[in-house]
Amino acid sequence: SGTRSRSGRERDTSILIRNLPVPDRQRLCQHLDSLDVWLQLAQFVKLHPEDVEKIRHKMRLGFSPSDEFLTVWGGQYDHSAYNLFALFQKMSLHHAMRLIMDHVDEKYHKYIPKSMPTISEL
Amino acid sequence: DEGSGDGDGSMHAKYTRTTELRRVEDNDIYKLSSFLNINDSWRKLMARIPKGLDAKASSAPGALNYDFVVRNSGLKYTAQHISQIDDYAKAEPHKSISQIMIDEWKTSGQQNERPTVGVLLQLLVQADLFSAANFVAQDFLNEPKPERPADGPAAHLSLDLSEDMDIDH
Repeated sequence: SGTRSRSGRERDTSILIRNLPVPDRQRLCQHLDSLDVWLQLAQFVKLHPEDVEKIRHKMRLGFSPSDEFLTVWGGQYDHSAYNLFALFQKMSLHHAMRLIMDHVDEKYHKYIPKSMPTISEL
Repeated sequence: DEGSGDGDGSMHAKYTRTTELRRVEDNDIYKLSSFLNINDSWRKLMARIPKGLDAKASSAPGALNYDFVVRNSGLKYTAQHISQIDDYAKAEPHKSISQIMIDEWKTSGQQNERPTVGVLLQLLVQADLFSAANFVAQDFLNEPKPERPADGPAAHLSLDLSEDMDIDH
């Protein structure tokens, strides 16, 4: 029962992706890299091919592709933790939603689906 | 609610849309350039700068008719110009590469072509460089953040609030 603006869109007060605390960002990127989902994320948000190639190139040099994805989508396009949380929801990346839940409004926590813990989480 | 600042409650903008970039303070150019260093954003900006701009006339919101100007006058900088910036940056490694680019752009051209804050902002939005655009809009001009496109990488994503999350998976 949050308040809605007249346009129907709630005001986003979450921090920007580029301002996520480093340990949280690292933990998130380790998880995303273990799932090897960077390309799907990039395709979902429709990154330009040149940016996809840049991420792939940095990955071959040993950098985290998920971290590069966040640098492009968060750093250049100035998206927020809420936008990222929404992206993870649309891609059913439930654990990733949990990893950044502290950076979105509490009222959105109920949108993280209950799921069975994976073997690695037990 | 603590009152602070002016009686009218509004903050005075540092610059106006017609302020020439070469009049912007060095530390503000430095902050701008740190946004333009992200993901080589300065290249995307430089590659889009049109030639033959009437900068003052194009400074107001929506006044820069980008496609029209580019179709008529072309682009100001070629790939060779851009790689020259790379060369200057190698020669001055202590300097921010996008600051080198801004320094080149802000001093080039005849008087009425010289870029203004308003032209900069519209070009940043045109190039999808929203971190830099948001910074210029808010910090330089005290304007609200520019609108996002509805689609593409710059579009904001929102939660689907209709999903019933009580279902166990």
